[in-house]
Amino acid sequence: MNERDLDLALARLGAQYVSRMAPPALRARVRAVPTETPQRRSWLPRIDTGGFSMVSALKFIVAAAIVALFGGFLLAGVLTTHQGDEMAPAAVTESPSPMTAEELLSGMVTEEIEPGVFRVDNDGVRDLTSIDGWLIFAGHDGSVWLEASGELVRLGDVQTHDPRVDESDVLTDLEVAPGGTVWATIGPFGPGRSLRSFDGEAWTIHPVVEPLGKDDSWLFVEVTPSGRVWAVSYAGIIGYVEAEGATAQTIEAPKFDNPMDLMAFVATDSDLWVPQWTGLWHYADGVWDEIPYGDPDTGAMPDGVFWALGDGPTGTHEILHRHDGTGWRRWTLAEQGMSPGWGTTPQEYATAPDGSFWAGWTVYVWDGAVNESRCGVSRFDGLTWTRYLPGMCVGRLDIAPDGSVWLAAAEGDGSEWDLLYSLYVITPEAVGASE
Amino acid sequence: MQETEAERVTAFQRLAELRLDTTYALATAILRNDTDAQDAVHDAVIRAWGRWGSLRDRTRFDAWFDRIVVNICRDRLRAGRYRAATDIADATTISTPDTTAAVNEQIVMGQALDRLKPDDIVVLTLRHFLDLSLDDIAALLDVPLPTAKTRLRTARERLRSQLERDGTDVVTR
Repeated sequence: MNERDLDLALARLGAQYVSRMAPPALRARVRAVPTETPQRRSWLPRIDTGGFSMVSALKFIVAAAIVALFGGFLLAGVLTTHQGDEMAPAAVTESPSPMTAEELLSGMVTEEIEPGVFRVDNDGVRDLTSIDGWLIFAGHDGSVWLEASGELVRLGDVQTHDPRVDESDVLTDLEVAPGGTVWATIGPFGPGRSLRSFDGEAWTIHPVVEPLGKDDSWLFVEVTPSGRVWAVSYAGIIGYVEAEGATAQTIEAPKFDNPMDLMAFVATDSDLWVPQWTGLWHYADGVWDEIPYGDPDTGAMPDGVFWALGDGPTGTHEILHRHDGTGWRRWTLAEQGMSPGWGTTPQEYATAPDGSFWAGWTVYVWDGAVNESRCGVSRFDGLTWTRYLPGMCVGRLDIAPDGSVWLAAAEGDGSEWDLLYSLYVITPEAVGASE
Repeated sequence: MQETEAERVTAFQRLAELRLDTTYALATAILRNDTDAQDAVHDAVIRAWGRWGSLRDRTRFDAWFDRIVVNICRDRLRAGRYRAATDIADATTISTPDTTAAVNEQIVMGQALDRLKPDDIVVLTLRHFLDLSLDDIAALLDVPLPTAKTRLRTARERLRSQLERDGTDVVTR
């Protein structure tokens, strides 16, 4: 398509939207706002010079999507190494082992909707029902963090965070180290763009690369069990912060298919795995090599299971690749019970400590138009798909070290986009109970 | 003389209502969904009211409020609820000589847009749906003009790549 055709096609699509007048119902809602809504209170005192906007994570719109598990070593590391190896700044809490879902839920208002599956209505501090636009981050320390409308909270904690400078700052990722230190990447182009850590009292900026390009920003952060913090920038720069937070270095990344699509990566202290459309890029000992998804003869895999999502024939990310340490296997999601039909699109996905793959998904059945949609959440162990929370659409999903799956979910069939989410948790005890 | 609370409310309501049609069109263009656009504008009004006290120069309300709306729309896109779903109801109401081709084009283009990053969607929308100048886009996104240019160019490249990747081409007439 030439430039002119592209312009015309865009203009034709846009023409149907741009001349609309605000409907009376909206006018009434707007008119009522100042009389119904108290002005926002002041937030916590500003910390350091930058801003911090907890808004959203771009992982969710991944293009070359991938999820991976660092095999058993991640879980082992979480369980065994966090005490002595935790990096500065000091942890929020010194917890001897990651908090379990059971411990976290004690004192909260919950309703058990299936055996071992709970809806969390109130965390003892705040109402958690019907929240618009939640992000969920399950930390290595067992804590669960929620973000909605620019407000970041730790579940069960009264403290609220919103240390943004302005609304052009966006939270792009968040990780909680085993000892409780919170790491976050802020972007994309606002004044607060940076890699930051929070020790319970103050946010600290870590200038991994200084300066980033003017159009660059940190997108993802990954914390290893020993405390090394990896960060990936929008333009594909990969850097890390050494233990103790003292040293920051970068490594040269190859030219990926599309650096802007570099949406997820997996790291140990020494190795990186970066998913791309055709295969997996691996970094070790200063060398990058690509491992094609279809290549059964690979030797440089993490010691465990590695899941990757690739493009399917319909252009959606519906090919599921799994590497078990010896070679790749692959499935079409639609064939494996996630849901039949056109365009099965994982909305959220994560790997559990037991090596299973979890996905919140939506399927669109195509018949010249989108005329049917369904959604759900499923677990795949390499052999069997198990579905949970039937009739629920998943907005966000993350998995805690104890294997509990935390979800923002709402009833629906995927056809509505303005769902108000509630918080659910599938406890380890519920895993295995199929629909 | 200090402004009373009633005067504060009235002043805010007046400015917000005057800007409502513009911001609703802005939100509808970015989100391509009437209901979500209404919610986004409503959220923006709440946010703006919450920060009303920080707006010292009320003559700058329009730009300030527009920016809030754009940011909220972008957040909603980032929240991931806008995916390969085109508003078919809207598309089928288009009056063209060749409705089938037009609808197909809307769907293909809409789906390609849905797979782009929110920042790309926003900048393409501002430029091609709303026909804003690069200067206006830069101001709205609070970025330097060269950055706006770069973003637009990159977004167009990504849109074209997405269309090619989908293995489809927009029907041109």
